[in-house]
Amino acid sequence: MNSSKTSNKTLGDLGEGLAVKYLMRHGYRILVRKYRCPFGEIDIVAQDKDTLVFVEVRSKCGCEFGLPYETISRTKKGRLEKVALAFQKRFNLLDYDSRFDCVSILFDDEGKAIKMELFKDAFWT
Amino acid sequence: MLAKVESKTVSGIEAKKVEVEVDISSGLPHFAIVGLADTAVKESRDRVISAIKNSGFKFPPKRITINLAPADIKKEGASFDLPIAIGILIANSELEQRHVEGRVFCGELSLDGRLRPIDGALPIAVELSKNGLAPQEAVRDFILPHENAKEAAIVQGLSVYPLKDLNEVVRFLKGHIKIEPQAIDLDDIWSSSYESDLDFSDVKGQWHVKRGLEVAAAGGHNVLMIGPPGSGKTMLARRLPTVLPKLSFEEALETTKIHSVAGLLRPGEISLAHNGVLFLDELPEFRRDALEALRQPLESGEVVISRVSSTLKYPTKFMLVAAMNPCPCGYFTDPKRQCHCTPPQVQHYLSKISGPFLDRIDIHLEVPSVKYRELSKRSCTEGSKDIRERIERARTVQKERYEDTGVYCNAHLDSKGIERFCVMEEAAGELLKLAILEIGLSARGYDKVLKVARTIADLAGSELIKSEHISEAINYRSLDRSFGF
Repeated sequence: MNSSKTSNKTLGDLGEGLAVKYLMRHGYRILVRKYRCPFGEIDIVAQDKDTLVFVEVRSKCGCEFGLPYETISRTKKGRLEKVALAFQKRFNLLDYDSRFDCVSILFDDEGKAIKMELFKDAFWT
Repeated sequence: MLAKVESKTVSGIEAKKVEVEVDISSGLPHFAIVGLADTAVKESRDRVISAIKNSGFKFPPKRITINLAPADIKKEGASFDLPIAIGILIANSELEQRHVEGRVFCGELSLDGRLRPIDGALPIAVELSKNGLAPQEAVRDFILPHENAKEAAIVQGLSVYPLKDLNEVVRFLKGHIKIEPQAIDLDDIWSSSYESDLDFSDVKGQWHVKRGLEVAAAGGHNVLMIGPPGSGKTMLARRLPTVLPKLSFEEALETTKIHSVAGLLRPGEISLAHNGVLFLDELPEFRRDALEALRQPLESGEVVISRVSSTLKYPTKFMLVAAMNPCPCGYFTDPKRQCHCTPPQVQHYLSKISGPFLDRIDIHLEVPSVKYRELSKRSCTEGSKDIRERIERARTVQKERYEDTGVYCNAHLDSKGIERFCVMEEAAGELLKLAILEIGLSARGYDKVLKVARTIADLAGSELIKSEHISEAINYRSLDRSFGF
């Protein structure tokens, strides 16, 4: 049990690192990684041209239980919205155009990324 | 950025103005529709997003708020899709506010941006032509799905633009393409009236009943036919619409308005029969409460539906034609066949129709079974066309008489109108007085006899009601006596 939790966390960190590189390659400026506040956490906050982008990274090994990007629940969306608002408020960015993106990374059993996708404007509040 | 687009919603059979305000601002992406919208309107969010994207326009992730004003009218249906989409395109600087000035938009969007027909286009057009004209605007444009254009174009005094999809609407508003307003030839519509295969000459014999139905059609009176099975009640009722006079433009417009919204707010059968015939076959088989509920619309010519949010009024000026058997087995009045119902059975059967309901029916006709002699005779009776000519003549007389009283025919006269228009000879008055004392007609029955007599006099071309007209009219009511209702 413990080992699987650790491995999931490692997988997440691994995915996040890959996502950051991927986003930078696509012209995003990374502002914050792992922004934490009492409401929760956002994996990456970046800037795409004039738009503030909140990125949720979903890493997953195997797709028996759905593809990575399909695993964002309604609760998770609600939590992301709250954290995003908190972030905007904290840094006085409420008037900026903003959106939610999602990076979905699929790993094989050896921990090698086999598929990476970026969903711009993944969901609305 | 703020945009304002005008639209309309239908409440009852009247249209009301709705202003669609669209505000787009920065912030977390969000889409909200406010202003007492029902589920179909709330769902328009997803249709509009897809339609805009699939029509090749950008849909940026921004904070979008749609307000449907005024907030106190309940908005139903999908007809706000188009104005919402246009508003978003304006707020997105795809269009300019001046492009939509003096224009009204209605239409449902499909996901690929095509416009789908809406319910109630006609009432909206009528409303627009009535008071939509602000003095500074020379032309009022009504933009709607092309399937609805013909329906709306019947109304004069506004330009109706038929459009197929969102892209076309945008190009039209920008002036990139030219679209002619829907033209319609009213005379063409009038001349292409529906011809029925049925004809009154199909019915053999039954002179008395035919005459009764003619009087009923001439004055728009309600009719009840009682007779054994197979005597031709249903056959006669089916042929009644063939002798009804053509509707006037106003009548046709009002009736079509009801049918236009029929998909939306569901006016019931009796409102759909407005200006026409409502035929209830086997009258005692209807539930009693359903029949009793008919009393009010029969009397007032409108039905009022009260709901939590609003009170709706539908016009229901129809001619009620009912048919029934005199007893459960059907042969109570038949001279040849033996009726095998017990008196309590007959009584119970007849008591299903209440006195007050019967009182609202002007003409009662006894339909006897046809004699062999008449059945075998070759058809030499007059056809629907001749009867209809007489009826139309009588209706014209009525229309001229009731000009600017808001009444179309004798049956719709109120008691004041009866006093004013139903002037009798002295002898006729005496006869009526005698009948009331003898038969025991109710006060409403008295009015009905006078109205029917008025119609008979109109058919005869007499301005004064004579005693023969009164006696025929009383004859059409004597049924309540002979059946012991």
